[in-house]
Amino acid sequence: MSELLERLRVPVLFAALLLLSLATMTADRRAMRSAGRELPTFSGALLEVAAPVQRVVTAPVDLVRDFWRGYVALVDVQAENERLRGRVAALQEENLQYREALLESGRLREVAALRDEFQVDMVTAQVVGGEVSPLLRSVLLDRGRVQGLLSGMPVVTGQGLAGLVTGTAPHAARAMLLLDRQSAVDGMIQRSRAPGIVHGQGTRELRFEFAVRGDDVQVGDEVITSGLGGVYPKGLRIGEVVEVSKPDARLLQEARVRPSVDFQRLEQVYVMRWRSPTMELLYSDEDESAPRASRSGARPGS
Amino acid sequence: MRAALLVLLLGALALILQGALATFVPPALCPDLRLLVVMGAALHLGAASGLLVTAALGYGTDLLSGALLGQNAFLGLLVFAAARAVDGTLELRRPIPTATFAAVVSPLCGIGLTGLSWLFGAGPPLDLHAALVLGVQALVNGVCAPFMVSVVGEVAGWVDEVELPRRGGSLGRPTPLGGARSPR
Repeated sequence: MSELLERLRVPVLFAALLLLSLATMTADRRAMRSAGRELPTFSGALLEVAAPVQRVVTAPVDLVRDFWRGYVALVDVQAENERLRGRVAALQEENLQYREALLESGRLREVAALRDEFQVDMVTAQVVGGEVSPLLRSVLLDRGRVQGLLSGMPVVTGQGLAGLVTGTAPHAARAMLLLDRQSAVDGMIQRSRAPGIVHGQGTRELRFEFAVRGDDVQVGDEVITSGLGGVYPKGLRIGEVVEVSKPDARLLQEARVRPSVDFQRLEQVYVMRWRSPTMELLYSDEDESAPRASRSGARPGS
Repeated sequence: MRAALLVLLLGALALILQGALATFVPPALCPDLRLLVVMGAALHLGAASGLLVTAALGYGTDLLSGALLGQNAFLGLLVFAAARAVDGTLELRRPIPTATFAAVVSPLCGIGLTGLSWLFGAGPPLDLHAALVLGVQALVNGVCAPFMVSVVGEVAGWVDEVELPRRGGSLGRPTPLGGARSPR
């Protein structure tokens, strides 16, 4: 009898661990759909440990990279400067015309109001780790619940929208990038207001989908968040259309979008301490001890 | 037990290093060090302790990654079982079989990861680009596998050397899932 138990020990353990992993997958998926994914302290411990260690590991590489950008890569800077000066002059002229047009249409006040609404409390965070799976695109941030970060908060850079916080520990957080294949953002073409969904592809580019065939989408158009999904505030830059495709047999058109954020050089990000009412409802079960920035702060966008 | 704890520590360090590497190395070229440690654990640890180490490393990966909690643990357990099963017929500890096994298992794991995500409604099915990434990473993993597996072997062997005099005998080769195996 004892020999039989001994022989069954390992297969039973194997089966139990497989079942446990299936159970946790189901529970995690349910948590993603209904409530928060804030990690409890014991399971957030790995994030806590990983963030400072990864910062130490990446420090020498950052040093070399900074040296390269600061000195070696400056060889061509003069030519680039001249080219950029020309570009700035052209843009200033263009900008002047836009302002004139806006003033005429009375929308300047609206734009100013929108800018004021975007004054949301932001937390600066360093990217200290990348995604360990080649098929997913997320990053590890060195700020967490203690600094007021919660799941569902948008992550931005100076260039535009970068992603969304998907899990937090006391001093670290994980953020899913726009490039992730699971990422979908309600967006629109800034110029024509044509709505669509911006999907991550797992590559360096995004795809603007579900735009009605007749909508005005052109190469060079800026894509921004529409605020309709209840996840991101309205008006954040997502990227620029680089190719439009209109398959003959379909009522919808698609476009390839180059993200405005340079994800290859993502080092510092800002987490908007804001969540839409939808996200507040979705994550209502989470840790009450964390600061609720969105309730006291301004509500950008829609 | 000590060997298992050391391998677990090694796996955790590998995981953190992998995350750090991913910030400046393209995803396809970043080796899946955790998977390679799991292979090493399958070949150099006992079945029960190896399974526990594999599950723990899988959950660790899930916590650091955007995957569902349990996804990498599930796939890691299957890789562990496969490595032990294959080691029963092939000499998986030699460099070329190790590299070949890693190169075959690595894309299967990726397909499994995508498949599970898709099944749970947490991601799209595998596309051409993802398949290409998995193909390239399979080669990288194949190249790195012999080294990582031998490191795990060295760590486990070092603990064995320390503990053998107290036990008064050889531990032999690891037992496969489901039964004891005599030393070859």
